[in-house]
Formats: sequence, structure tokens, C-alpha cells
Amino acid sequence: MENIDVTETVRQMLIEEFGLDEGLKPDTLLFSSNLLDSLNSIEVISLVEAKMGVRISPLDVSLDDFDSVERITATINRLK
Amino acid sequence: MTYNIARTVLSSILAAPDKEVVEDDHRALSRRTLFANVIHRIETLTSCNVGVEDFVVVFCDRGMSFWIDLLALWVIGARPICLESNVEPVHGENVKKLTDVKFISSSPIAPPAVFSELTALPDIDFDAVPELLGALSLKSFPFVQDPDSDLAGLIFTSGTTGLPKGVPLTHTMLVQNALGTATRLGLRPNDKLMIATPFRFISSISHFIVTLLSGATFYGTEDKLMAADLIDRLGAKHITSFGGSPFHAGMISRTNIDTLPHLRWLMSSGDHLPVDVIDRLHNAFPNIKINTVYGMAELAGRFCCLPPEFVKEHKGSVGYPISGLELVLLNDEDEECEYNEIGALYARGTIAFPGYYKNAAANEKVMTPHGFKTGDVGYFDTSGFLHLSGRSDSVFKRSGLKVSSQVITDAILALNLFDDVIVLSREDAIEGRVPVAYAASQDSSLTKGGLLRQLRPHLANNHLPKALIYLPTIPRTGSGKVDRRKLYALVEALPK
Repeated sequence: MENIDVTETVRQMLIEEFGLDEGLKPDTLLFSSNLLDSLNSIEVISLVEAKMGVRISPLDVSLDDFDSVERITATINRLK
Repeated sequence: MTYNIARTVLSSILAAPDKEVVEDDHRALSRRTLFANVIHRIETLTSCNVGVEDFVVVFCDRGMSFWIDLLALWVIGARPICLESNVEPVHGENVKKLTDVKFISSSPIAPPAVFSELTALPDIDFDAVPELLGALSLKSFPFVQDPDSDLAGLIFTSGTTGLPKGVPLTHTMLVQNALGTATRLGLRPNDKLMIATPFRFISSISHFIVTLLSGATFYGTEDKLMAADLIDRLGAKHITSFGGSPFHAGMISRTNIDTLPHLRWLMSSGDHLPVDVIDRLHNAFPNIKINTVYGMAELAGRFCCLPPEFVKEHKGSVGYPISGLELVLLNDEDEECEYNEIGALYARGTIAFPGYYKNAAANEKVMTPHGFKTGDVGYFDTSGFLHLSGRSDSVFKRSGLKVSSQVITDAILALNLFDDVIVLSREDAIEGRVPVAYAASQDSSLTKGGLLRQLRPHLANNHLPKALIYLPTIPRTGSGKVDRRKLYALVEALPK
């Protein structure tokens, strides 16, 4: 999957699953800006695993790796 | 006998003045520097005319400053009102109405508009605190123990069913609850306990007090932590003891003793600790002491505790009350329950809840001849250990935090999107229980994301439904109550 597709898939997933704004930008901070809270983090990981086909151990990633669409994309690419 | 909680805490750390006692993400204080900071803060407070019985809004999200403020205010007989910095304006207005508060300690966070007329106290400048020489002494503190007023401050409920209610913390309740808890939990002087929950929570305040009473070191962070961050922090800080929710315990259970060789003790509170998490923890940390605790703000901290030696035998139980508290389980006939009979849970004893602050309507519902009606339901097993079964109202716990399905239902109804709607909780492997919205509508084009976007301005993150399920109708009884049996039958009949 092209990088641009991954970014858009992640963006759409966050918009649909968490009700984030449809204009969500790839660099919008998710956790640092309180759009999501740390209790959502496990759910984000589970969704990324299910939709993107990557295996993520919660112990291998930090909040920083998931704090925006583009960082999630980079994390997915790193783990592929 | 009158108490001052600050006297109790400070008197327990007089010896070994250079031992580290409190740490946040910016600094660690020895007992000596903690004393120096509290003394310096008292000077600041008195120079700002803060005095006995004055209410002071104290924001958390400020790390160490929160704890210094609490101790200094308690010493002089003032009353901290512990709030989070993003307090809702309507909540702030209610706080002002209830207390006639005149001061706020929020710096470096600017006071929000709702508190703009309060006198803002200056920030704590840790670098400007004069060094304290010689032996530590309680004579440095002008303790106020007013026999006519035991009130030590206010915290507020989560407000899941309306405006947050003020919970009075008295010096007596704080001291007795902390002593009863410290005796039961068995922290050691060489322990270092970590919390990662907002400091304004009674659980955090209780951990702070009990840790210091035990002679151990307290480390608190208000950072948002994912599992890896939490594990990293536990390792980097050489934490021996962790106090948090079952959610945190679940995170820790996914690592092991090789990663966290110092961790020997864990306390879970806020909700039922799932059996599989207990099993994983015991497998990962063979000698770990697990304390499962049931507590609440109304009782100034902890209510029941299951000591580690009983955890394997009574998995899922929250144990029995701490000294000073008694629990009563009553069935629908107001008779005491037999073993294994589920009933409503009441608390009474010498640490009795005095009632919500200036809230007669709320008190009428919970202050009963049997004691304080907690709103929880549960049962005693045949050994007399308490097991929690849930809530008697529409409130449930999601990742350890209270959520009201009624509040969510009302918020969705107010959007006027569906013909009928009901929100119920269902079990979830990760979060304990989660809210699910069941909607009846001619038009099912609105997606879950679309619904959540409309709800976000009105509901907290943890109140957002995990799923939206369309049904042909919401089955109701003649009295209008949802017929859950029929509703779940409709859900089962939906195409997978």
C-alpha cells in the first residue's frame, strides 16, 4: 500500500471510530491536544492492527508514536 | 480529639532528613527540602492573607506544587478545593456558589475566566526557597486544629449524573482512613510508589498520604502514558510499588520481572481487577504483592482491601473494610443479605461520610439509617469477602472511570436524530465495560463517527459510545422501561 493510502486509511479510521473532525490533518496532535485520551490508546493500536495488518506489541510503541496520523503512518511503515 | 492531616503526615517524616520523599517529572525533594518548601509556602499564603477556614481553589496538572499547596493549606487550617485545570465553567460557578471561595492557586496555569475574580496566589519558586538547616521539627509549622471545624477541603465527584457534587474531606476522616490503609497495605520505607492518575482524585491524595506515612518515597506523574511509556517510567524510576486502576494493572501484566526487576507491590483500585490480569501478573512477577482495593471519595480514600495473601484464593474480591469502616449489604426488603446474595452496599463507621457539601437533595438519596448508600451492589462469599457486582443505577466503570449510560442517552436524545435510543453497557476485554448506543430510526445512514462528532462537544471522551447499533425498534415495557431481553434478542437477530 502506498504511503498516501496508509495515511488516508488511518485518517478515515480515526474520523469514523472516534468521531474526530472530518478535516483532521495528518499532523494534528491527537493525544497531546486531548482529542483522544490515554484510555483510547489501546483501542487505536487494536484498530491499526486489524485494519493495516501489522502486529504491534503495546510495549513496543509510545504515545509519541501515535500522536498524529502521520506518526501512526510512520510507525506502521517501521513495523511492516 | 482533633486532628490535622498535615501534622500526621509531616510528623511521620521527621527522621532521615535527606531521604528522598516526593518526586514529580521535574524534581525530587528530600524530607528536608519538602519541609523547607512547605514553610516557605505558608509564608506566601499568610502574606496573601489566606487564613483559617478560607477556601482556596487548587489546580492539579501542576506536579509538585499541588502537594506543597495541600500540605501548607492544611497546616494553617485553610481548605483546598481540588480541581482539574480544564474545569467546566458551570462546575466552577457551582464551586463559587457553594464555598464563597476567594483564592486560587493555579500558577503557572492562568486561572480560567470563571475564576477570574479570585485572588491568584503566586507560583511556587522552588529555587528561591531558603535552605533548612538542622534537625527537622514540627515547631516550624503553625498547625491549626480547630475543634469546631474539622473540614480539611473539598473534592468533587465525577459528575456522571449531573453537576459534580462536593465531597467534604475532614481531617479526622483523612487521618483515620490513611492510618487504616497504611496498616493494611504494608508499604516499606525503602519502597518507591508511583501513581499516574490525576492528583485531584481521592485515590491519588490517599496514595500520597499513605506513602509518606509509611516512610516510603512517592512519585507522581500527570503525563498521559501508553503501556510502553508506563513500563519505561516504572523502570527508569526504579519503582517498587505501583498504585493505579485495573487498566494500568493490565498494562503492567504484559511485561515481566526481567523488565521491571524492582517491582514488588501493586495496588489496583477504581474497579474490579479481572481474574486474568491477576493470573498474568502472578505469572510475570511470581513474588508480587497484589492489593485489590475498593475506595471512594465519600470515605476519604479506601473502603475495603484484599491483602495479597488472599488474592489467589479469593480472586475477584475486594476483601473487607479497613479499620474504622463497616459495610452492610441489604436486599430489596432492607434485610441483611445472606452469603452469595446480591444486595445494595452501605458504609458506616467512625470514618462516616458526613454528606455532600450543601446538597440536601443529593443527601436525601444517600444518607440513610443504614449508613451511606454507596450506589454499588455486591455480595459476600462464604468467607465474608466482598465481591462487587456493579452499580445499582445506570452508572458503570469504563477503564476504572465512572460513566453514566443515562447521561449518554440524554445527550443523544437531545440531538433529535433517532426515533428512539437507549445506551447500555456491555463487557469489553480491554476497558471492562463500554457504552453501546442502540438506535431506532427510519434512516440508518448516520455512521458511528457521525454520531460521535455531534456528541463530542457535549460528552467527555469516556462517555462516547463504543458502538452504534441500529434496531427496527427499541422494545419497551408498558411502563416505558427498556425490555432488555427483547432488545438483546433483536441484536442477536441482526445480520452478522
